[in-house]
Amino acid sequence: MIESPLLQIRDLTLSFASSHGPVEVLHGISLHVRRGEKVALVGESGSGKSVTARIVTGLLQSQRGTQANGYVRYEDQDLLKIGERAFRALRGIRLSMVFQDPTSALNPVFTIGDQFREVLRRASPDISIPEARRRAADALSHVLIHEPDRVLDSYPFQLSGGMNQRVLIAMALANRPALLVADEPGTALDVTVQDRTLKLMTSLIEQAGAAVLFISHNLGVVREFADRVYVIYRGRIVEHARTADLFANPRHPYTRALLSAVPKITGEPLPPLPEDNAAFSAPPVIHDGCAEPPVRGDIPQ
Amino acid sequence: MMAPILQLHGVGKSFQIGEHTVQALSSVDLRIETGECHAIVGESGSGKSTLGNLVLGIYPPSAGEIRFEGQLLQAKRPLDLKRRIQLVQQNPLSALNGKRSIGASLALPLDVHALVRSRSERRQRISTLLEEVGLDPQFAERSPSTLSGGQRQRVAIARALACEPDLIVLDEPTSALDVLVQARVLRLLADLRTRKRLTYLFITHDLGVVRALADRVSVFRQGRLVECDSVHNIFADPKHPYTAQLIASIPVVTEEEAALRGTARALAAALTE
Amino acid sequence: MSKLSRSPGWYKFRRNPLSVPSLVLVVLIIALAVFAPVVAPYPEHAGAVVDFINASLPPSWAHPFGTDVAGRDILSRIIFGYRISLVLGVVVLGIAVPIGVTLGLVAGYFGGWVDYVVMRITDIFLSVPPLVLAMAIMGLLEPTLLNGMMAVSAMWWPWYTRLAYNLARSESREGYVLAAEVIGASKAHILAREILPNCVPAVFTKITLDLGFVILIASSLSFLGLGVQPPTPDLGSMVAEGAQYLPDTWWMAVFPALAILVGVLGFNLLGDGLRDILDQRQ
Repeated sequence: MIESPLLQIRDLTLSFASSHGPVEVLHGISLHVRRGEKVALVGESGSGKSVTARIVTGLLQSQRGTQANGYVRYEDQDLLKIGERAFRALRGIRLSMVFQDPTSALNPVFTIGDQFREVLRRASPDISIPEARRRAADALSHVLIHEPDRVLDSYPFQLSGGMNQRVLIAMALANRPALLVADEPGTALDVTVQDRTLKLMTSLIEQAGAAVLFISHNLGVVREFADRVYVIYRGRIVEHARTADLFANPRHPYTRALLSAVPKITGEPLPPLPEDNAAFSAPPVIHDGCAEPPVRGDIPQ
Repeated sequence: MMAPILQLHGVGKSFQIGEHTVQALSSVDLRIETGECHAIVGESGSGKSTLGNLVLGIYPPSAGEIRFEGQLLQAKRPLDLKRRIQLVQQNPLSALNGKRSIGASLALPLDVHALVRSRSERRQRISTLLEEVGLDPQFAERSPSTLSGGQRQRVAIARALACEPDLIVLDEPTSALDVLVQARVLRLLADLRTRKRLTYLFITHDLGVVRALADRVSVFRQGRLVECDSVHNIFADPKHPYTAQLIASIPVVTEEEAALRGTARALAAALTE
Repeated sequence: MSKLSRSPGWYKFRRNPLSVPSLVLVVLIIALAVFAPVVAPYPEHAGAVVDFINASLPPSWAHPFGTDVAGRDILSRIIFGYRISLVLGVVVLGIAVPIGVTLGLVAGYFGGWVDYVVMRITDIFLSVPPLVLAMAIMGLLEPTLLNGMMAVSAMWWPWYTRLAYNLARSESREGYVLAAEVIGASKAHILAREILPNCVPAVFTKITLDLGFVILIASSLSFLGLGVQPPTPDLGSMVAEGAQYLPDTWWMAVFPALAILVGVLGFNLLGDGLRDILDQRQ
């Protein structure tokens, strides 16, 4: 019997209140992430990929005018039903997040060391200051920061974007969460720095045995990083495949358009893309071996 | 042989920030031919945006000189010279004045340079400009907030074209756009360049875009020009380790690209020794 | 009208439960002020009328807010009081806003020594408590309505300069300003046709809030005997007169005071509601 997935989303719909009445942003999406897997959710802006990440990390549920329905289960909990307090117990400990802009995700008025200690305290409330510092320095050395003491005493604005991103990754993995939700990590970084940082992130995640839900618009990064890929277009999953399959054999018109539109360093000319997007509404394509697992019976509370 | 439209000799630029002096560019020698699409490639701190700003006359160089069609180009320049060098910026959301209609934004260059003689001629010209960038002429009545990022960028391109320039500085014009939108806008830019015989100074960090659009490439690192060559040579046979490193770091989507990248990676290692 | 009710601005405005009632209130006050001669039951009581037979009458059907020591209907005088306050507000802001905003825009866009000179002068004015400054100026001049308006204008312009300065500085960094500069538009054009229109929403919100404060400041000055002179009805002087007779003929002070409160509150809450629309957009 296959173990049930760590994160399972089935038929999730999401709408926001607006001056024109409720606007539906997610039209029933389903996805799952198993332990230790790296799953990517790829789409353009307005596709719904970021709001999905925010639902999983509990940042949307309490917002006024938001209506979310469906099945969203993480470990044993229904993420649409648990309150903010339960989310606070999860975040940073069982479930971590890494955001797009590293320098603004860190608090500018506290040193890295102070912020790291806060993160460690969430899982171990009684951790002593020297012990927290030791563990933080250890974590930083794992992200190849060679002068951990200097970094721990610095403020975020004193460090480069790449270093802050590595600090964030170290902090996110410090309490060994089972799932890491990464929203466009590395987008704000230079290409050479992004390359190094993502490779580092991959090895750390594998060491920590964490699973990743990776949100991105960058197909190249996804190809290198993910085990499985979901392609999302206008609030619907349009294709789901293992990474190698998706890039070797994209079947949905939207996925094919996306792949052909990326400028290639081998010099193929850019394809003419029709202004009309009607073909993108074709029914979703699920590759072999990528069906969604069955939903468990009752959710024990 | 036609004269180069733009030449830089020993150009340098430094900024005074508090007590520190930041050297954004040093000893840049560059030659851009008329009708070329010349890519300026680099990461942050490379000085590529500073180069664009110097060409546009936003500030003067601290050292060296810039020549446009052989004439010395200074920051303070006559109106007609300003008209001939235009800009398309990175962020489409702030490039248009939200309080003015699209038509009013397009009318600005026409009025500043007295390019139209009557109201009907102005209206006609605005319609033509919108059609050239693939937008319905009715967009002239609309406000920028009703347009998507890609549409706004097309308007920004139309506005640059309205001046009937010779040289356009494009500073990361598609970096803020979605993948599909970017592809469409890049095709538009390529098409416009040949049709209108424009020269592009195309500033970007994206080597894929460089490959698709550029004729020649200049690679910058920390304010210095490290390599300048045709786009074919830069990718097939990069001479400087930094260039090879850049090629080796880009995320790619096909097997062929991955192979090219692998070659570059090996080359970067070899060149560094 | 249905198009307005579906616009995103109105939607955001509506979300604050105090916004719509304050809008209704402000419209009502403005209507009262504009139509005062028609609406007030005893319009002649706004002038130098004396009717000792009906002096100091408590609230009744004939005089809903009672009468004062000279027999004048307090309700009518309050309505005319609103009129005077709003006229004062319009004149004061009509002088202070153009001067203040122009100085701020020029300082913010051009920077350099213009920035330094203008903003230091502004800082000096801002360092003096506004009411004290107005009182000091009034102390040197004859206590007429005109002089009162001059004094209040003199203390009001620096706030607009600072607001316009900050707005101009941030708008100058936006792409569309750079685009206009590259195109070759003149600095005058950029200030007037590009930057200024983008400052209007914030300035307008401040004007709305300020109308409430002008009522308060003018009332305060009159209360101190420095502003509007009798027999012109002014809410502040009505409170001052009536205060002497508390608590027996309480209506003479209480109703004008409530009128001040309602006026200031109405404009303030409306300004807050406008700010809700504004903040989201920026």
